[in-house]
Amino acid sequence: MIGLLRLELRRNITPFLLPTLAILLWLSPYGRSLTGTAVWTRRGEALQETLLGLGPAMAGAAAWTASRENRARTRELLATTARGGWSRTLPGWAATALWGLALLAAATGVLYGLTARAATWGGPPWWPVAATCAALLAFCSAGHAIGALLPGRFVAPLTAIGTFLLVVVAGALKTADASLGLVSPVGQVTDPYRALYYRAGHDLPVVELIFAAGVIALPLGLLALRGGAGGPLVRPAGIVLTAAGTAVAGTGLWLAGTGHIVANQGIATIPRLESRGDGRPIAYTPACDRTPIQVCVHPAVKARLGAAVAALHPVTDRLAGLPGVPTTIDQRMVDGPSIRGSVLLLPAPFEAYDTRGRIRGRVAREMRADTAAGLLLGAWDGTGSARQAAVLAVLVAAGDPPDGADLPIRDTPGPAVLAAARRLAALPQPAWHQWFAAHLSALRADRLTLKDLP
Amino acid sequence: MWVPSLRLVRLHLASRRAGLALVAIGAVALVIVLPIPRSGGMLGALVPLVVAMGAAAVVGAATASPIGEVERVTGRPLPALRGAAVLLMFGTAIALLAAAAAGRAPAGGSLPLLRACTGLTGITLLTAVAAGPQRSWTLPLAYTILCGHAIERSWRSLWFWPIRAGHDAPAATVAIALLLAGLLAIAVRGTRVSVRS
Amino acid sequence: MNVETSGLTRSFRRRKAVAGVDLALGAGVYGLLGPNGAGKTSLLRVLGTVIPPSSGELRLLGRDPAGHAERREIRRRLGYLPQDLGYYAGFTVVEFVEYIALLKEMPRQRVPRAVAAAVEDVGLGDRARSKLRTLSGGMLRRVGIAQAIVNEPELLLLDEPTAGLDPEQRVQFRGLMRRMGERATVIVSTHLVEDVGAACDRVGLMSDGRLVFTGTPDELSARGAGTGVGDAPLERGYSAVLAEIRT
Repeated sequence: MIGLLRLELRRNITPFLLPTLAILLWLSPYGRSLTGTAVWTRRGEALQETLLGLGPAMAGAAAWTASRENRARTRELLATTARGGWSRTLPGWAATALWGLALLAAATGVLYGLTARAATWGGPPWWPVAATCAALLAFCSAGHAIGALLPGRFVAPLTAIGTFLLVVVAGALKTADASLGLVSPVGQVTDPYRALYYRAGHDLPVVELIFAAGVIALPLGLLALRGGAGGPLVRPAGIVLTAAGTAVAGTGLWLAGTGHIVANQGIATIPRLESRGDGRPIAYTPACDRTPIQVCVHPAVKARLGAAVAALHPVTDRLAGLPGVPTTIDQRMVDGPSIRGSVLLLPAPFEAYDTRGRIRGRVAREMRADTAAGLLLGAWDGTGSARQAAVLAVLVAAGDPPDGADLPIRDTPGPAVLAAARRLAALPQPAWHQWFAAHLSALRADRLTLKDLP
Repeated sequence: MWVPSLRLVRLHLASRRAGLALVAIGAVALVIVLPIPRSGGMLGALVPLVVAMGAAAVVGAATASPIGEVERVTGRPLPALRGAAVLLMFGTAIALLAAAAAGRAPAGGSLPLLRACTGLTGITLLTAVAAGPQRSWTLPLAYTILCGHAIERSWRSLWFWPIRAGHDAPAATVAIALLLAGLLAIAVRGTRVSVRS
Repeated sequence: MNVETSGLTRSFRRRKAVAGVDLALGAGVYGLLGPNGAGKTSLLRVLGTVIPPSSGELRLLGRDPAGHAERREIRRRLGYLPQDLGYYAGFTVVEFVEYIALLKEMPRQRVPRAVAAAVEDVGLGDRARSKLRTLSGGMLRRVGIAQAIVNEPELLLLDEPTAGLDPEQRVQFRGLMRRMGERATVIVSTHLVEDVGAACDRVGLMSDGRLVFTGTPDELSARGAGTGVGDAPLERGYSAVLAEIRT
């Protein structure tokens, strides 16, 4: 068997697909995650998303290998050899699977190696790696069985495309909150950044793993049930594999059917698998800078602290030292801004964490608007013309557009609010400081009107 | 211009297993009828594109000649036959997709689906000419995955014509140009024949 | 006896391709002649365990191929060259022969030497590392012969082995058949009577699924004296026996 496997490994089609697969990897969320911050949870999920391209390609390669006897017309010759059909086809399957796993191991090594060098918090998540490997083997098994059972001209492309379609559909079901779709390894339902703050558990990868294990066994079992598959032990082995595969895959589907997404925590929960502490907050010590209004972030995104401080600097510089204004901004997993003592709690801007270099454009403007509103007013429902004008004035003074488009309010402010904001922003720094020092309490209590503004 | 007889066209189609190809296209088109969520997220938006690519791949695979060089040396009728066979299968694919999408078309109507099938068939045919019909599906599949990437990143360049709005004239032009190029290539040069065949 | 058949038949739906063949063959080269559709290939496929017989008795190498364990043992000692040899175009000559050797469950340590010897025996030593897609039709036929003899079979079944070989190669191949026939049963189906005359100890002539003549090549030649049609004595014997059957 080893000799056959070595031969099959040498002549497998997968190495010829490696350049294409490498490009697919780079274009998948895998490649994109490498350009973002090195966050373990983010990278673990990106690894699974590689299956959108890898899965169909490996299924196609497996179908191509399995249909070889028919394509090359060697069936009659090989039927006269001592090995039965099943043990003859297994080395081909194993070779495709091993090449796929080798590629995945290399991809994981690169991704996790780079992450280990740059990550500032946490450790590598291994459950997604296990689920990805199992899914890859499942794609190989299914493709191999299709290629062997329906050998023909169309089998390799149709298997690859059919698998791609299946993956896309399953992923679409998963993201559309259909619980059966949770068995799909592709499709993002959990939030990798939220998993920094809440224990996400491993329900999802476990159910994916269970389903994939069933799909690995089932096609191989079906192949053993064919005529000429081999000796007296092959058929019972086929029955066992088919039954076990069906049962395991069915269990996976059943477990997924009982699952649901906890939207506010961005985690998927399978009640029967629920790991202890799932969804509970994770304790951490934030990483902070030393500016007058210090900015704190989760230690996993410490690398983005400098960029966040730079993006907020025009606002924090303008409001630093004002009596009553918080001296610390803590970006964490909260629903909205609130002030606790001298600390402003702000929702963590995940979009800003997911980029590299300076934070610019809309993302930066929205960060500044949330921060300005939070520092001045704390929890704010967006009401009050004077409050809108005051927040907008801070943003205008910080150099953002004076149209109020980024304000965290439902409607765009009217012309009177915009004019008042521009007037307030135009005040010299001492007058500005003096006015806010005198009126901040009244502003927060919504006791001011536009007429009270300078 | 020489026009192939109906009998010859029928035999040529039979040698390409056109019947099986049409059944495969029909099966692919059936996916459109399934209640699959197509809104929200890259994966949902990819469904019609993958269906179109599937139909195109079958048309590409059906260009394979089981006769190889024996057929290639037969001369004048072949370019017209090849072109006619591909056109017939492509036309059927379009008709089947349009019928399947009628009343169930995703956002933007069935135009993007048919446009995607048109252009991707062109890419498939060009790949079949360059790399052989057995590998004709590889480039369209890779390009479709690339389009998924483009959807995710909201790219709207003409390079990603399949994901532009339904009535986008430049996108339709690119799709038709690709089909014509593919048809011309397959008619004039035929698919690459492997030594084995 | 390596091959024993009694009343062997093989039907494909209503058509009887092999219609009651009795054979008892030991070591030696046995030529199988007959017109197209006579049942030669079907008989070889039955003897090669590709398809089971429809009725009759069959023992190969002293074993009954109906049982899995015995069939497996037979296949380990069997060499088979089908009429239409399929091959993997991306494999090299050595890889293809090695692949078949491994599938025949030869001990791994014996495989490299056996493969090299088989490839040398068919005169492809200088093309051992060539991919099969680069070989000519005659060379591919020789690869087919190499894979058939790689396990030093006790029963060697060759269907049209010399088709596509050049005259020099055919002469060499006849020598190889004679050498193999010294210790194994070699059954060769062919249309080339000169191969039979030069290499076979015994010859069988099939028509409509039956063996209508069994004897030595000289005995077959003798049957055509004065009556048969053909350029060579064996051809005349061949045509005379067939003419007798048809009348």
